[in-house]
Amino acid sequence: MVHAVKTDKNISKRFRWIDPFQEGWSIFKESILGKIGLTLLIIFALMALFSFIPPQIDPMYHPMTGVDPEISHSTGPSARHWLGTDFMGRDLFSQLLAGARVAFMVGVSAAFMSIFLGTAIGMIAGYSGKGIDTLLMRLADMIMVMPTLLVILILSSLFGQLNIWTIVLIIALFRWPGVSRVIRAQTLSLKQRPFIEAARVAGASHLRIIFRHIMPNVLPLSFLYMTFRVTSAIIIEAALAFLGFGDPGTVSWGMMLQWVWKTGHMFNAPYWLLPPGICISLITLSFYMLGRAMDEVLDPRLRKEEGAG
Amino acid sequence: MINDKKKPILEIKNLSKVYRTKRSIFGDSGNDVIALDRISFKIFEGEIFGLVGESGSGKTTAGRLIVKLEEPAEGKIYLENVDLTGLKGKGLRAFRRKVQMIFQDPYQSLNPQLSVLNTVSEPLTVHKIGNGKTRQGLVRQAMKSVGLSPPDDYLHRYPHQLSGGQRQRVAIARAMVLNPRFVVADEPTSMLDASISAQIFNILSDMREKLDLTILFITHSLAAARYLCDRIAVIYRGHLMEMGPAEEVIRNPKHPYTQALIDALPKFGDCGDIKHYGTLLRADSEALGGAGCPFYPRCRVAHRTKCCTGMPRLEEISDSHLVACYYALPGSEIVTEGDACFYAT
Repeated sequence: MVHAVKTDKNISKRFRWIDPFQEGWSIFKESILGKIGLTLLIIFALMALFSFIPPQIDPMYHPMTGVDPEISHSTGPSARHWLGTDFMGRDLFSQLLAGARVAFMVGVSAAFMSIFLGTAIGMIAGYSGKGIDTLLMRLADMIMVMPTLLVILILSSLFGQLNIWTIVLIIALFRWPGVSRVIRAQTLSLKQRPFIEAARVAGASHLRIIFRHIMPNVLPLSFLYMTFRVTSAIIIEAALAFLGFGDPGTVSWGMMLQWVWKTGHMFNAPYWLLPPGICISLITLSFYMLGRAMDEVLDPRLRKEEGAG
Repeated sequence: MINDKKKPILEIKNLSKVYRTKRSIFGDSGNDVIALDRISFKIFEGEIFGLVGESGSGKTTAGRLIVKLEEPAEGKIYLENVDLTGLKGKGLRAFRRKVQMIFQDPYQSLNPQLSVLNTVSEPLTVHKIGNGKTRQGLVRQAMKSVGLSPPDDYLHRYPHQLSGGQRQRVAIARAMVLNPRFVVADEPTSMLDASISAQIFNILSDMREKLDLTILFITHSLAAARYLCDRIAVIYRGHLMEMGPAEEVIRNPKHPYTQALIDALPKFGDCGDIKHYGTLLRADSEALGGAGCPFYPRCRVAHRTKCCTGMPRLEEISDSHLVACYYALPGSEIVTEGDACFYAT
C-alpha cells in the first residue's frame, strides 16, 4: 500500500511537465487534419534524412556536383535514375531529397527566429505599455506592410546572390510582426489577470513576471504560429529560388523549378517539373494542417463537442 | 473594548483615488470616477478589520491601494509608521515581505502553468529565503496550516486539478508563507459556497491567532463581517459611513445605509420579530450634483436641504462607534413612519 502510494507520487512528479503534452496529444490524435499533416511531415522528414544516402552510394548521385558520365541531356525515369536526370545528367531523385532538407532547414530556422523575435517583442510591448508599446507596434506595422518577397528581391539585386542563411535571416526579420501582435494582445490580457497581481504583491520583479508568469502562458500560442510561419518561409524561399535569386550553392525545390524553366523543359519534362512542385505544395499543406490541428488543441472552443446533450 | 491598549499597525489619512476616463481630443473632460473620497481610518495590531460595502463602493480599491497595486491620488498610508507613498527599492521589498493579499477569485489568482509547490514557494524565492530544501519545508508548513494535508498530495498538482476551496487555500498559503504582518483579504469567499466559506473564515481566524496577524477583510456581506471581524467600517461610494466594533455596528446601526444593508440580509420566516429600518428608497430620487451625502438620493430619512448640501463628518457617537450622518448625532432621532416592512420587501 505504502509502496503503491510512493510510485504514484513518483509518476506524478516525473511526468508532471509532460502531462499537458499528453493531454494535447490525445486531442491532436482525434483531428483528421492533424493526422494527415503529421503523416506527410514524417514522410518529408524521412526524405530529408535520407538525402545523405545517395551521394554515399555513388558520387554521381550528388545532387549538386554529381553528373552521370553517360548522360548529357535530360532523361526520363529509369532504374538507374528513379526520377530521371536534369539537363546535364544530375539525378533528380537525389535533388528532390536534398530539396526536402533545405525546405526543412529554411522553414524551421526562419520560423524559429521570427517566432523568437515576435514573442520577445510582443511580450515587451504588451507588458511595458505606453511609449515602448507604441514604438514597437508602429515598427511592427511598418514592417508588416512591406512585401517581404519584393524587399528580398531588391536586396539580392543590390548585393548579388544571397547566401541561404542570409535569406533565412531576412525572412525572419520580416515575418515577426504578425506574431508579435498576437503575443502582445495575449500579454495585455494576461497582465490584467489577478495571478500577475498576486506575483507583484509577492514582490516579483518585472523580469520574473515576464519569464515566469507570462511566457509559459503565451508560448503555446507562439508554437502554433511557428507552424504557419514555416509555411510562409518555405514559399518565400521557393519563390526566390524560382525567380533566380536563390542561393546558387544549394539545391532547393525552387531551384529545381528554376532549372526546369531556364533550360526550356517546362512542357516536355513532367518527370522533372512535377515532383518539386508537388513537394512544395504538400509540405506547406502539411505544416498548415498541423497548425490547424494544434489550434484545436490550444483553443477548446474549436473542439468538437463530444456527446454533450 | 479590544483595541483600547493596541497600537495602530496601519493608518490611512485622507486617502483618495480617482479613475480618469479618457479625455477626448477636444478637451471636454470625461467623467472621472471617484473611487475613494478622503477616507481615514486606523487598523490596530492583531485585529480583523472588516470593510463592508456594495459593488463599486471602493472597498476593493482601498485594498489595492494598501498593498500598493495602485497609487493613491491623494492622502497617505502608513504601515507601522512608514509612509507607503513613493516607497522604492529596499523599502518596497521590505514592505512586500510584510504585506500580502488574498484575491477574490481563486480561479484567476493562481497561474495555471505553475504547480502548487511553485505557486506557494514563489514569495520565498522572490525574497531569497532559504534554499530549495528549507523552502519546501516552509511550503509544507503553510499548506498544513491552511488545511491542505497531507501537503505531499497537493505539492505537484496544478490549479486545474483542484477545487475552488482548495485553490483558495493554496492562495492563502501563498500569502501566509512569508509570515506577513498584515494581510488584505479581498472578498476571499465570494466565489465559494457557504460551507467552504465558513472553513476559509476559520482558517483566517486561526492564522490571526497563530501568526499574530492583522487582517483587512473586504466583503460585501455583513454576515461574514460579523462572523469574522472585530471592527467593521461601512463604505458607500468612496465614503466611510459608519465604523465601530462589529457587534455594535450590527446590533445598533446608526447610519441609514448600514440599516438598509441589514434590511437587505435574507431572512427566513416572517419578519415579525426582526427589526426593520426601512431606510432605503425604492427608486433613486434626483441625482446629486453637489457636495451632499452620497447616500442622499437613496435615503428615506434624508432632510431635503441639510443632507444635499454638505457631507456630514464622521463623528464619534459612542465609544469608538463613528457615524457620518446628521441624524445619528445624539439628540436627532430618525423618525420612520408607516409600515417599515413594506419598504423592506
